[in-house]
Amino acid sequence: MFRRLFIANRGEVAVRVARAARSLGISPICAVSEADRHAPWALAMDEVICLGPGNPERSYLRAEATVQAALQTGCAAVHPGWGFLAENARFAALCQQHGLTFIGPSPALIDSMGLKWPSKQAARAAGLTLIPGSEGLLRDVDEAIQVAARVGYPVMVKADAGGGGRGMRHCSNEEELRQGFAQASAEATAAFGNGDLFLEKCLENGRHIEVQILGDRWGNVLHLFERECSIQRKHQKLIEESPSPALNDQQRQDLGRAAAQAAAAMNYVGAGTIEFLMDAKTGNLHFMEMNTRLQVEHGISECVTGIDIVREQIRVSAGEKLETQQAEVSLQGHAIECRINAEDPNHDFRPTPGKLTQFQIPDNLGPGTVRVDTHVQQGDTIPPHYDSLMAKIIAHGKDRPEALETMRRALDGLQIEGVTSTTPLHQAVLISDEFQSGTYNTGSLPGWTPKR
Amino acid sequence: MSTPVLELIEERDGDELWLCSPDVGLFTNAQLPGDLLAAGALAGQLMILGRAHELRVPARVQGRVQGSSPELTHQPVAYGTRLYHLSPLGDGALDTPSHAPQDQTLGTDALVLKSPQTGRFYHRPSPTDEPFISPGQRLVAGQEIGMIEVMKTFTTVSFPGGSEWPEKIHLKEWLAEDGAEVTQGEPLGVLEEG
Repeated sequence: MFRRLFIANRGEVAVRVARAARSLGISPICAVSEADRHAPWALAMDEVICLGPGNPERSYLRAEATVQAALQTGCAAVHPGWGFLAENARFAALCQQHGLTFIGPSPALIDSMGLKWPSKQAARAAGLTLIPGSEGLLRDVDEAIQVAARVGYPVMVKADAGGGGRGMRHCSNEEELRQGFAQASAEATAAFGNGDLFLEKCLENGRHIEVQILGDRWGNVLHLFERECSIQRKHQKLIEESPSPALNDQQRQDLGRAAAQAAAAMNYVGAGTIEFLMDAKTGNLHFMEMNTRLQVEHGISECVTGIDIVREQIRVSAGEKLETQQAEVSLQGHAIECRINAEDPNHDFRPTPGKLTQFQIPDNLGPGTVRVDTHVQQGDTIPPHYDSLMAKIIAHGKDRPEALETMRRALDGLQIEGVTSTTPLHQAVLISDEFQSGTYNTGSLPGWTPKR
Repeated sequence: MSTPVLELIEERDGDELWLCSPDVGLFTNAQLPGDLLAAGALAGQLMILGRAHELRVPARVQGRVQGSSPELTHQPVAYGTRLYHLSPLGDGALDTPSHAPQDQTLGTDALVLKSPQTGRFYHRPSPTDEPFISPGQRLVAGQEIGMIEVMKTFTTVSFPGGSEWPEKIHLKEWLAEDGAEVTQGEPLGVLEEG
């Protein structure tokens, strides 16, 4: 096992990884920016090393400086957390080149999952169902029109190299497709130097359901069941729960098995997540993408399975075997997570950096148990450089109603002042009919109307 | 292949002056106590992933190295680690501030655009686009002049216009550079009537 682990990240995930490292007797060392050098969360580390100024491009996103910092602090392995360098194949390769263990899958696998069409091919080869659409990249607009006629409108044209919503167009008919094809291709050429497009049927008001995977170097792959992540705003997840209220036991077992088999076919090592879109009409689950890293919402899977995902991630990277067999993984109750962000939901989710004059989240109001994953405390200033996540509240109950009630009490008892947070949104969604009945989808935020 | 050069970071606290590491690496070939350092001179090397980077003394700095030498020939340092403590030489050369506080240069009656938020200020919609406006350009109410990035979210900054401003007005100069970090209320640019 490693003696010292380098954490190439900040804030909440850095603290989470440090906790897992300590549970294995490993000393956590962390990269910090100038803006974070004196942050209270950095005290969770045995040592910190400053990489550069607050702007992430000059600190947390610098692959060479990060590797140099890991080497000169005597670390044997690097955990990239999520965001920043976590899905950067070049960084993973650079770590290996300098003799550091990168905690994640191989650079080649990260690379193939980062491009849209290659990742779909790999998923299909591994036995997963794709969203109906074009067979590979489109030759021209005529082929796009043919494919659209086959799968039915509305459709989405997407750039192979796309990301962040660029090079994507939603088209409801042939006329829009002619226009959208040209625009998306031009946009992708300008932004990514690659105008290749493919086409998919647009599955509106579907549900986002993802499966947590763990693999070791000995060919063992486990799934930890699914997470339902359909409560989103602009593709940002806000509330997640496990298990999904949209699946019955048979569907749950089938989905988990299919995802685990796919990951095994890719020789997947480490923690990963396969994301599916559930068609509202047919109930079929289609592969969307695979994230080759730890996810923000991993905590709910830990609560319902009792498995520490980050600890396992570190163990398998050190060459150890997974401790658990699939048959031993069972669902224990129900867990819900609310992301408390420094954003004003009444003003278009405007970020609200500032000083937290009050910050208290109660974890003892019952009826179930509450876990709070956070890196901030009362008196902290939320810096403007980084994302707005302040805390994740995870409520665990013996069943869904108990988990919901536990979350409701925690949110009602929470005190955050000085910074506007997304708490009112969570309270409103939780008591909405759609959320209570579990019939919500990615199309809306049920129960929420902004007050102006 | 020529050796890359990095500029040392100048840090002042009252009369004290330090030169700090501009990156993470192993500091080697250090100048010794008593050596003179002058602007533009090379003062040691930083090894980053096995490659040497020369360290250069920034403009307006000169002084004599005080204190003791590094303990190791390859001393691990971080961004901002103090490498040299300098005792200043001569007068004037060191006292000239690199930039006067911006508010003082503006006068009390200057027309300034202030930043509505703390974040990063951009002159252009994207790195490859033209700037929203350029110095000399006339402004009208509601005109987009830049963007502020706060926690990865971009907000457009517009010229408010209205009765508080002269009817005809143009941008005289930017005070915040493209991509500069700004705080709420900090002047972004100076406007001039006409």
